[in-house]
Amino acid sequence: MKHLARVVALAAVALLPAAASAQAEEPHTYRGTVHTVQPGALDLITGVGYALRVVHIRTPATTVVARGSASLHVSELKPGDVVQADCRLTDTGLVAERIEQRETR
Amino acid sequence: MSRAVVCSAVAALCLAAACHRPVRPGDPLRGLTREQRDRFARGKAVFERTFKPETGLGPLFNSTSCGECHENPKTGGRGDEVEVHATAFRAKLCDPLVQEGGFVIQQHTTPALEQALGIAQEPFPPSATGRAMRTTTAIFARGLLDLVPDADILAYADPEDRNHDGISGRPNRSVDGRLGRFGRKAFVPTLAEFNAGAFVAEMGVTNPAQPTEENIGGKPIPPGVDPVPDPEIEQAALDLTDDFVRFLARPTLAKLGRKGRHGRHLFAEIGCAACHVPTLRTGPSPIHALDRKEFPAYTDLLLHDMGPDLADICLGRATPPEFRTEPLIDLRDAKSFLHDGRATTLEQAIAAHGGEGSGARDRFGALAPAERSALIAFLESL
Repeated sequence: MKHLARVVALAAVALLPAAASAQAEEPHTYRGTVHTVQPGALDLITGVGYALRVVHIRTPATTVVARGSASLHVSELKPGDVVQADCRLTDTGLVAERIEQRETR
Repeated sequence: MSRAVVCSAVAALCLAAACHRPVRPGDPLRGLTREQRDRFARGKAVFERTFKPETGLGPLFNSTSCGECHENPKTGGRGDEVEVHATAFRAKLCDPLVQEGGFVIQQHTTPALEQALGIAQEPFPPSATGRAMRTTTAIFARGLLDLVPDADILAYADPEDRNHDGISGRPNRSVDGRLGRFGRKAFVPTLAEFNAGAFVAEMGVTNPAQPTEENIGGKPIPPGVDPVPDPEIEQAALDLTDDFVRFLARPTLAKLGRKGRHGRHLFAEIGCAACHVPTLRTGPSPIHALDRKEFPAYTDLLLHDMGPDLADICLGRATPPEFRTEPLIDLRDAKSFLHDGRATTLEQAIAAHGGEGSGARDRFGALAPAERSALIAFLESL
């Protein structure tokens, strides 16, 4: 029993950094409407019901922007476009890795 | 006849009477399980809970509880509160003014916020181009409306008016592009999101679905003004409230006499039913009481241009004159009509229909007085 407890404790200690790392790398995905597009960043309107919020997302040169199979430049996005932004959280805020413009009928 | 037979007969009669007892405003759906009825009762308690600053209220709010507004004739019904919304419509795009505090302009502040900023309500956003008044609707049958399949709603849409009946109808979309169906502009796609958003937008009570407060006219909340840690209610309370609203039944339609039946016929004949679609059907649901049920909805859940006189704000893809067809539910308990309560009679409400509603309005006006009276009698049965 004592041995089992030790094994569990060791396993927990061994797995802790991995769990923390997974949390840090957890993707932050936002779906919303583009509010503004600025050089190197965009503001996205997201929210729940009538409680809307603006999310500020940086868009460095490495951000991939796509509409279906076509790739776009971030400056081709415009206010009113519905997008999904896959981001990572950094010390300076959200950084978009991929932005996909979504079609709606 | 033995006593046992008499007792059985009486019991059978009682059971039959219970089955045929009309569903009243505020009643739960028929056919809920005992567990679901229990959740309905517990959810009603959260719906009626009065929040205070120390339990999460504010710092901006319109009301201290859901039940304070949705109260007539029973909890879940209408209210006499009228709230203020504002958006900006520029270059065919709608700005919900999130960076100025959002489009719901809360009419009250907590004492701490009033002391910190010297304001008794949220400042009206300076860049708004439109202002709207919104009455409190009855929320009966919203669980049924939530489950109408998107494809069924889209099947009623005719944005180019290809059938040339003067009625187009188009869907609104949420900020993330999903089909909207709740709210006067059909902006919100699901009942769960409407409820979670309402906790924050109406009472300033954050929850796991929306764990952040809105800003105060574009500025952050002053330190110390909102000391309760977010989220201010837990998921379990949100789920219970959601079940209470979801399980609220549509009150039984009043029995129609000959006059009312004639009115129902006229309702369809003059074109009201083109938008106020009488019957909708839910899709599959694990909840038996909501599973593939036909119900009297009198809406198509689409946006229609109602003309310049009713126009107020944009929201999502809805332009200022576009409104979702209002579900005609519990009309008999309504004291005022239309989105802003400007009409005090059904005749006034019909007369105010412009745009796509003008054809039906004109045909109503051309009816003989007895026919108009019959149609109103029908509406009063809903």
